[in-house]
Amino acid sequence: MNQLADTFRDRSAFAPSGPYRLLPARFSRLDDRRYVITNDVGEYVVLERPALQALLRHELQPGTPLYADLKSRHFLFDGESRVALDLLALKYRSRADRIADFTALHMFVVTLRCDHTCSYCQVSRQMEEKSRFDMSQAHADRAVEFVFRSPSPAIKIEFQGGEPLLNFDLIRHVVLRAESLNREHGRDLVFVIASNLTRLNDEILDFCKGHRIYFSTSLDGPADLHDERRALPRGSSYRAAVDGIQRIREALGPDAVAALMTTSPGSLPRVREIVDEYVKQGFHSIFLRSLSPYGFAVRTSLVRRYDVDDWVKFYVEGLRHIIDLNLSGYPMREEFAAILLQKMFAPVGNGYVDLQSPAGLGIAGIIYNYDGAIYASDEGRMLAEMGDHTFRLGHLDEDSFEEVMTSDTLVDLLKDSMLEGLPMCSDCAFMPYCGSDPVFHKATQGDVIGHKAFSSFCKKQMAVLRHLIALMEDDASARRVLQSWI
Amino acid sequence: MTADDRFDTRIDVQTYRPAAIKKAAYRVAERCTVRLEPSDSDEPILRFTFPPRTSDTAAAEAVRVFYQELLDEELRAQLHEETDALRSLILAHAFSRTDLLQR
Repeated sequence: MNQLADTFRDRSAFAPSGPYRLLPARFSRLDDRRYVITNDVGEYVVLERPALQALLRHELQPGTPLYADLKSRHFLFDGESRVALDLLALKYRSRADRIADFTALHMFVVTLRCDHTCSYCQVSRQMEEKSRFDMSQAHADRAVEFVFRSPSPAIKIEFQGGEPLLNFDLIRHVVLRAESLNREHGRDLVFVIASNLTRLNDEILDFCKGHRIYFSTSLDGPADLHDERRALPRGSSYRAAVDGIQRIREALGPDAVAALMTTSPGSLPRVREIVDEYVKQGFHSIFLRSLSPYGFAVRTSLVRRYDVDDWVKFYVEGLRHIIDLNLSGYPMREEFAAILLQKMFAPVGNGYVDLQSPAGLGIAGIIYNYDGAIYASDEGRMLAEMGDHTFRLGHLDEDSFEEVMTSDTLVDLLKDSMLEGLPMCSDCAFMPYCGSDPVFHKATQGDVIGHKAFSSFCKKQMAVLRHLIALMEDDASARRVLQSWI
Repeated sequence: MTADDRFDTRIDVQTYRPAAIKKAAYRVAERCTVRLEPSDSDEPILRFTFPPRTSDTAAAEAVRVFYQELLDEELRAQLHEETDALRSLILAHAFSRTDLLQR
């Protein structure tokens, strides 16, 4: 009884007794001089250490601009605050609301075959002629049934490989089957084909018209850089990509194709050229991505040829160039920054799979492999190709949707990926903007939680977030550009 | 600095609570290992051990960063003490009246 009374105290017990009362917050160093303090709903204030100490010692004077700022952003409340706790609760709930609407992204590995031999391939491709690496129609039908068991009102089915267009017949079958089922379910259903575009033809484009099918391709930069790592035994991968991009735009519209780049060691001194290549190809968006420690990038030791500091330097220079492009009149968005800025300033949660707490494993995205195995994420199946089956949730032949989504494997992974309970993360000011990456930490440290003092994921996140916040604080023209991406 | 890459000092656990010392040690784990060792006085020994071939400059910087982190951890502990109950209240309020269990 006493224990209950101690836990459930009357609301009056939380009223401020002095000039003001602190609200829950976390702080971290922004630079040598300043701290950033954030709350659970992602609001932040930058202040110097004396001001931080004054705040925590209840020495701030009401009526000062800093006091007003901290009060309006829910870092303190006083006798005049009427709805601070209710507002915080409402905002927290809005940000967490997406968790109930799992799973929006369903990935189908329709084949593991590929015509490329990329040195950093995350997928561990198989040779083109080995048709035993194609997904069967029976597995595809079963996976489509899983898709519509998810409560998410918006569903994206993404076809992956290998090179998925090598098994286009199965793509067509899945699209028609999903559309048929969706007449009953009424979800916001779209499809994406993640392709190198070498096998694109008129028959494929004709089918894509009217079926809400989009394309995602790879473009690493200028031709020599792209072809250096994306080896196509007969021809130029770059030429296939840029020709394909043009054909898709003509057939399906200007926004029907997006491109992704991956940073190889050769990219590091050439970020401006890479961004300019995207401008040349008519894109208004680029995602500056670091190399992932999976698949052939590990087997060929490519992933060890640059470290996180190299990548951050590359990123900072690239972001500066993109901001300057915007200031000179060419609208261009860097997607990694845009995702983080949305997490910082948008009222609702961001659906980006790789930055969620709990992790997006299974609940933001799920992947059905060519052989019927089900994995919690794309990277999880890549790890399985390397012999680690930690993220295998079940099999389409053996397990029901309920068994997969309530399996100990998935639930334990989700519990272990809540930043609110992880060492270092739980005290980090950047926690509301960050996420857990259990696959990365399993691959690099052998543990799904990982020690963040040794984590290049953590270093990268903190470096980019510090840079973005410093730009927002110190550079008015950059701030205007960054705000336009939210 | 001692010859075997170790540095010992004493720490006042009335000023710095052990939980803050442990958290600060965790944060600097890439630079050095920090251990709290009992001593025959009220002040336990704080033992810094550095990876092989750590320079004196790098070792001194690691100790400086540790004490910086320790100050931050002390402030964090104060903040948590005052706001943890409020955080529980806000979270309980946020998820009251949801239909999560009915889905």
